[in-house]
Amino acid sequence: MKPLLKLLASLEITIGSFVLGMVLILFGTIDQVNLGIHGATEKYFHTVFVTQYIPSIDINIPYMPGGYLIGFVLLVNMIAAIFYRFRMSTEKLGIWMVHFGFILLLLGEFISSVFQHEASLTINEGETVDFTESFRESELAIIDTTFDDKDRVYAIPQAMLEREQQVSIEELPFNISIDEFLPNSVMQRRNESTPDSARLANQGIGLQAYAIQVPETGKMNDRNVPATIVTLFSKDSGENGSEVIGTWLAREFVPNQTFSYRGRNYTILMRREREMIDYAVTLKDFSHDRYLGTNIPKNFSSEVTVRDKTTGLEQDFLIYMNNPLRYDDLTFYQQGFMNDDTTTILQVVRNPGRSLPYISTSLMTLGLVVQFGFSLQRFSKKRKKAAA
Amino acid sequence: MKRSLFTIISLCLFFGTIYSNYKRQTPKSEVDYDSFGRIPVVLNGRVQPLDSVARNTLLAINGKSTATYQDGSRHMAIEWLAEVLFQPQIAIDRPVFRIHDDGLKAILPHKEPKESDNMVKRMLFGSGSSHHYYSLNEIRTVYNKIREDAIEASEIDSQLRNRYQNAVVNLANNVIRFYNLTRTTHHGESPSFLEELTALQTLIPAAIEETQKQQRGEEFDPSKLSPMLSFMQVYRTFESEALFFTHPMPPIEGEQTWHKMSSALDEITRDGKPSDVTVYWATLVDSFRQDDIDTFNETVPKLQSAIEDIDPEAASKAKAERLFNYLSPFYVSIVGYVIVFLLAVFSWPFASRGLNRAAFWTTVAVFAFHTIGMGFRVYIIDYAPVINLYSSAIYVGWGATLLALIIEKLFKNGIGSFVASVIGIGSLIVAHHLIDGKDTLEQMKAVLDSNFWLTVHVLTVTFGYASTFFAGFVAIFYVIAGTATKLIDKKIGKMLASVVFGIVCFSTLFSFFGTVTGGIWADQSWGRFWGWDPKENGAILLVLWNVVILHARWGGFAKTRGIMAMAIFGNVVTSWSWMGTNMLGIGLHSYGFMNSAFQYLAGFWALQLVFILLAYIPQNRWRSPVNG
Repeated sequence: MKPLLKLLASLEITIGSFVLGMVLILFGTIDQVNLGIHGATEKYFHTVFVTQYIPSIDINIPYMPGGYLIGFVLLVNMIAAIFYRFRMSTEKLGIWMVHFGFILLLLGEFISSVFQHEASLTINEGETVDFTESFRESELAIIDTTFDDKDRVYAIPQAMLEREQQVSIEELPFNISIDEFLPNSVMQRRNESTPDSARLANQGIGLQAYAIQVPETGKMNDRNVPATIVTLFSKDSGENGSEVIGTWLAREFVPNQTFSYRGRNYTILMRREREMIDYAVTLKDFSHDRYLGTNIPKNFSSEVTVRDKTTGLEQDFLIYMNNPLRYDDLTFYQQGFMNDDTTTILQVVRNPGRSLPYISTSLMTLGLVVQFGFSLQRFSKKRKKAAA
Repeated sequence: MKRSLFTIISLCLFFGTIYSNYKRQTPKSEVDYDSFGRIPVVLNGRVQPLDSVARNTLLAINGKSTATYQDGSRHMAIEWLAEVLFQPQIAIDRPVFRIHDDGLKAILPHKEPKESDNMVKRMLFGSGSSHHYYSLNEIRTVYNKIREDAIEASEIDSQLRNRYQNAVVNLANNVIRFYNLTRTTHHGESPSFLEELTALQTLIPAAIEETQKQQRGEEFDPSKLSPMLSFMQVYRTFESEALFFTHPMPPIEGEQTWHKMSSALDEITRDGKPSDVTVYWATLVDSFRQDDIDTFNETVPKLQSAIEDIDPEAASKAKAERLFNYLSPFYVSIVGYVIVFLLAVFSWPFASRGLNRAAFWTTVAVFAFHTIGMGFRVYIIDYAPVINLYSSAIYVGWGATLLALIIEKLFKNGIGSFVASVIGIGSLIVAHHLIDGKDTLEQMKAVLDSNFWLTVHVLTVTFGYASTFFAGFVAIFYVIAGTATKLIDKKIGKMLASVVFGIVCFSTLFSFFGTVTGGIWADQSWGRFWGWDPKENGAILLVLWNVVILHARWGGFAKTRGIMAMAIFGNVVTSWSWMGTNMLGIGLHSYGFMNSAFQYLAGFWALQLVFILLAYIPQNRWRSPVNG
């Protein structure tokens, strides 16, 4: 047992992991120019291995340890070192604090990477919104608009669309076949030279235009705009198979497409994936101050009212730069604005591991101060001795 | 007395430099440009004295803060500005636009390369200088072409533009800026500003009467209205063209705002009477045009005190900034660090305690002056000392000098002063190149506008840079002095090793704390503690490298030489996180993108690698007896 512990606790592993970590971080930084921050984070840090896809043999070849692996090795190394090497003494108090803090830091970053959820909340002045929208994921929504007082929404998340299978929803009288899903797309107008493969859609906007696939982007200020081609057909099959209702092209930023089937009206559309929240947020006012005679923003702020749906409690808040609103387990940050300063974009974050970095880094900082304080004391004692 | 002789001489030399620079910056002319430069205006969203407007504009156009006219005479920026503001018809013939790009030179009228009259210069830089100076009048002949090319180029992302496109956009912007200056204090449509004001005042009562009649629906005389309307028309167009704000307005609910000349003139049509500030500006315009120096000199203080009455804070800040310009603390500090450098270098071969002391006390003086310079910046813009890459470079030099003074106080062997001088000179020269024709006292973008976090995060993390550089340069000193001289014996070697180790501990603490506070700021502003942003990654690289050094020493993998080599590599890591990450042009820390200068960074890295290689020359080949 002891030799194994010694091996696991070795400083060579520590230094090796740190150096590999540095190389990883360097690559993960430089590649952000191509992949964007999100893409690079997923490729280098939130992964066990960094892999490269080789198209000719259709597999991902791992060529570098990823953030998870290096973090895990460091964790094991450190815990082993604590058992193998560390001694309890006041002189070593700083060392203990730093390393214990570092364990917490690694765990905290792991928890954040897995559980942290970010979405955005876009509100026009005077409007009330009770759902957040995902930054990256889209969904296909089919909305039953038959009744004036209430819409029924059936949404298919992007993860399901990507599988390009048939989806059956119990309450709907038709099945939905996802014929094609394009993770990122641009629109083209249909004309004589349009290939037949792009002429699948036979309803709505798809009669005038078609979508072409373009490479996915991971850039910060860029979003993928997915498109999908869906065919709806009736659930009960007749003599000639089931009745086909039609094939639609759905993509964000196209006008809503509506149809009727068996006396009910439906709208079909792609939009950013939505999540309902337990509060209704009303934007009372958005302001955007600039420095005199320039376009340099001085401050952005959103005056909001939050109404808790369960308790009915209403509260007013002012959200501005460096001053987010923390409400329940959500945090609302001023992220951006649109439409000539009449629309605010708030970032909504839920991170259960939020307090861990605060605890761990305070512990580590204190530990460093204690440890180097001891070193300094020893140093000045030595000097005094030398001088005497 | 004798042992302080060198100290006194070198301090006198340094203070003499401060004084002579101050004198040199003060304009010498019958016209009181000195006081004129103190007048506060608002440009780029902040109050600044005209002296700064002049310097920054001229620097952008001309690349220097003085202008050389057709007759070869040199003029201070403020003299040039006065001419541009008040007598544009003369100013447009001054050759102040520096053109470097060959594509632009090909479009512009041909100019013979100027024969350099200085022999030495000619030998150093070749026979003709590589850039030419053009006047606005010369540029005007081909401005249509320049404008078209600039519009075309400005649609391209600035990083993707070629050299010509960058130059043409730059030139077009400078031409616009020049033109805007000529339309800032007066529109130039009437020969005398004061007469115009008088004429306006006599027109107004009748015009107001007619307007009221019109509003009541009565019959009115349009001929009495139209003169005022034509004035107003002129004023409206010149609103958007004026470069800076000239009129402080009485504060409303504590909010101080400023107006442009055009709004002030427009207000006369309502109030019937120009404000004092307007009258004084008009007097300055007229007296300058008429060469009436006495009136001009009498009016400048009046204008100053009229502005001071409305916005006293602006006036005192403008005064401070003008003094800051005259002192040019960072330029003078470079000279100071050069003095320290020489003193320290010469103290070793002569083993002179006197030179050593002189080096220390001169470092103290230069450090104090460097600190005063940063204090001025803090007072002028009300922000923590580091707000952009420029000020971070200044702060790195300052931080390294602070550490050096502590080390020098402990060991008293001149090495601290020496390293301080090297980092001081280097960082201030880097800072000087980062100015790049921009106003370095800029306003903070909303997201960074938090003095608390600027202080806690930016100052600590930048101090981490400074200390890592300090350790790295001490290590370079060890390697160079060890291989090339006999200075390093076993005792000094041990001392340097403990200095480097101590500083690495120190910089671990600072860079760690700085990175962590950055994370907390990010959590407060953007909702996540850590987002793998380039600048964050750069900071963590620095922490990791320091941690590697510490573990390598504790594990006994690296002895003195290894620690030194690793500390030198620390320079590479630090310069990457400090400057390199900003060259990627991505991420959230958008306060200082730069796309050029990568070759300098690469050169710096190559140099560090050479030093590391040097460290690994077998130690029996070293000239110093490092092993005793």
